[in-house]
Order: sequence, then C-alpha cells, then structure tokens
Amino acid sequence: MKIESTFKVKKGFAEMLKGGVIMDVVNAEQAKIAEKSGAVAVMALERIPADIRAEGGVSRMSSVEVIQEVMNTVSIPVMAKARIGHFVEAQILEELGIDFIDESEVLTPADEVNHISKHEIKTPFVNGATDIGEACRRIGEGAAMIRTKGEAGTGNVIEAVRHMRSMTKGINEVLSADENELMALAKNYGAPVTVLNSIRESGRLPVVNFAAGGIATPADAALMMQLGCDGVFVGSGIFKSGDPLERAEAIVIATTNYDNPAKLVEVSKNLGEPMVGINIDDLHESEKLAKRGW
Amino acid sequence: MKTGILALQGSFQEHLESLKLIERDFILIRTVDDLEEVGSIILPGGESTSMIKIQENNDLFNHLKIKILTGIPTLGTCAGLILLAKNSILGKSTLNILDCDIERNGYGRQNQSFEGKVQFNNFNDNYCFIRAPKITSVGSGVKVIAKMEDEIVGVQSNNIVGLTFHPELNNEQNYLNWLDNFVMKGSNVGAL
Repeated sequence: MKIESTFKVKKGFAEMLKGGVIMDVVNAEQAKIAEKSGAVAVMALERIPADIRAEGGVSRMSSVEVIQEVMNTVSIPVMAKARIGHFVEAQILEELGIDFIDESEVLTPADEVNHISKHEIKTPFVNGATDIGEACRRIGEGAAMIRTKGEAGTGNVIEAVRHMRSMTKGINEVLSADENELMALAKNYGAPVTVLNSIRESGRLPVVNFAAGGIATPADAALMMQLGCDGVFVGSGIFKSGDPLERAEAIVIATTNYDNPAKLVEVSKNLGEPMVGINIDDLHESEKLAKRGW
Repeated sequence: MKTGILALQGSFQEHLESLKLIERDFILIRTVDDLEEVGSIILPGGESTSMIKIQENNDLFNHLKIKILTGIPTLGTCAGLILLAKNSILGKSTLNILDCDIERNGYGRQNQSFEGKVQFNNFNDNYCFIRAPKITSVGSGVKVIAKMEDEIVGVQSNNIVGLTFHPELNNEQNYLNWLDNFVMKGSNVGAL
C-alpha cells in the first residue's frame, strides 16, 4: 500500500537536498550548466533577482514552456517560484509535476495578507523567513522547507546573516524556555505553539533550513553553512558573474567543505569577476524584497 | 573501527543519528584521509549527480571503491544504491560494484514520492520512497532482502547492501537491530 505526498515524504525530500546548492536558472541552457556543476536542484524563474531589481515591473511565475524545457533537460530536481498568496500559480506548478514550489518574495506578491495554504498541495513548498516567528507561521501553513530571505539580487550576504542569526537566537530562546513560558513566546513570535513544541522535541527547526539571498562567493556559502544552515540557494551570484560554471562548481565544493579552510582557498582561486554588489543602505525601503510577506 | 558515512551531500546527518542510537563510533567521509580508520561504510540518500561531481575534486570514489572491495560492510540507501549499482550518470561511472540495474526516479518525480510497507528481512515497516530508483534486474549472486509487495526494493551481494528507500528517516527498532548486526558482521547477516 502506497500513500503519496505525506508530510513526512515532503520533509524527507528536503532532507535529501542538505549540504547542497540550489541554483536559480531562467532557461534550459543555464539548468544544464547548474547540473554539470553539481547543483542538487535548480530553481526555474522568469528573471534572476538582479534583473528583476534593475528592470522592475511585475514579476510572475516562469512560463510553462520554460519550466517544461528545464524539466526535460536535467535529471536533478526542478523547483519553481510562485507569487506569495498566488495559489493558482501553485496549482499550475503542481499539475506540471514540479518537484518543489518556492512561494517567493522575489516575485511580486499576489496577496498582501495571506500566504498559500500548503497542506492541500501534493508538491512540497519552501518559504522564505526572516526570523523564527515567520518560519513557524510558514511551517504551520504546511511548508516542508525554510530558507532565509536575505536580500535577493544584491550579491550582499548581510541580510541572510541577519536572518540566520535571528532564527538561531529564536530557537535557542525556545529551547531554554521553561514549559510555562512557551505560550507567551508563541504570542510574541506570532507562531503556532505546536511548531514551537516540535522545536523543543527535535532541538532545531522541524524542517530543513537553507540560506538564500545575496550569496555570491564560495566564502559566502561556507559562512552560511558555519552559521548552521543546511544548504544554500544561489540566485544572481552565478549567472551574473564572469565565469558561471567555474563559480558554480566552486560554491558547490565550498558548501560541502565549509569547515575546511584549505579547500576554501583552493576553490576561491581563479574565479573571475564576481557579480557587482549593492549596499543594503543604498536601497530604498520599498526596494527591499525581504519586506514582502510577513 | 568506525562506521564512515559519505558526507558530500544528502541525508548523512540522519544516518549519523541512527548510528548514535546503536552507539557505534562514526566518522564523516569527505576526503581520502577520512577513509583510514573506517571499518564499515554508509552511502546516504541525496542527489547522486551532485555526489559524483563533488568527489571528482579529490578522486574520492576510486579510494572508496578499493576500500569497499576489501569486503567491509557497506550500505547504500536510495542515491547510495545508485552509486553502488552498475550505472553511469552524465557520462560518468558510478562505483559499479553491486550487480544490479537501476532506473533512476523509477516511480516518477516528487509528487509520486510515497510511504509504503516494506518487508525487509523478516520484518515489516513503513518507509519513505523519495524520487526513488527502481531495481530493474539483479545479477547472479545477488540476494533480494527487501520487497514491497512483489517489487524488489533491497538487495545484498556479500558485504554490500543497497536499498531504494530511506530507513534513516524512520529509525524503526527492527532496522536499528539489523544495522547493528550488519556494521559488525557484514555478509553474515541473514537474507529473505
């Protein structure tokens, strides 16, 4: 007897991606390069975050043709982004048979108030979060994987670091709290108390937590791993750099060997130009993608 | 001797938890040097394509293969089985030391991933099959040790065991007892 798409199977799939790098791609050609470099999965999206930032306009789910072409080109898992709250884009991605849906702040939100209820959809979801409360709310809605929001398309890792540190601080607070303090913590975080209970049982977030948003170098990837992330997403950092294949391979090796400085030196050599970064302070509040969703 | 878990990527942390539960010493294998004090090996679930790519950097698989061929107990789950079987991925050879044919993503994509009841040796438990491979044929000398209804989901050839599912996500007591025996004794553990 088989039962498909249980939460255990969704969460278990995310566990299989751990220690790996998931790369943003906008077409099959980039997907091929990502697969060749050792990516554990690719993320299909309409435009990479740095271009979304530069060009503006409404950013939506990738075209069906592009997604299918990517799925037909690589054997590794294919993820795709849907707009926050756009449950019909999610239904379309589910029907297409995509492996993971990223309900992403990088795309223009479709609903200012609500995120997608993720339990009913067979395909697992990954969601961005800036702190423990946001992570727990998304898990409460059915997310099988969490990632830091960071600040996508900037090539600047500072926001991802901030979000990861904030998440770790929250988890430690939950773990050191007395039983009687738990409901008050849940109230402060705006988090379902059931998810806080799971954190206490497992000693960590109950689902896999990747780093995302602003990772551009092997050192950035290793930094996020040393801060306790389970793996990394790289968006603009690869295909906005001088030599995408070389840089992609280096980030993959650095993510596995994050605590081995000799290896990090080896892979950081001869990488060509990194993407040009943006100072977060130079962004207007309305330009910060991490502010989307809650 | 320690049990070495290939830790390039994937569910190595879960296998490590299983080993903690049976109180076995372990080491994470990332470089050739890590193989030195290893007396049994676990190849975890994950993405076989990525693992093959990551190890190229230091030629780890050639050394791993030599180590496994000395006859030490070796378990591969899901992607781990794909690495052990006769196979080639993106034109690159796997370890190629378990005589069976594999169809990657044999059940389909993630939406077709499932939990299913497995007869593993003489016990029955539910396990996760995640973008799992199918074993399409087995060579002579390869024993079937796990089935889901009529389907072969686990095989053993002397010291080498390959499973298409993920016992490391459940840690059923039956599995832990088997694992404890297996990493100690290898090929002397009974089959179906």
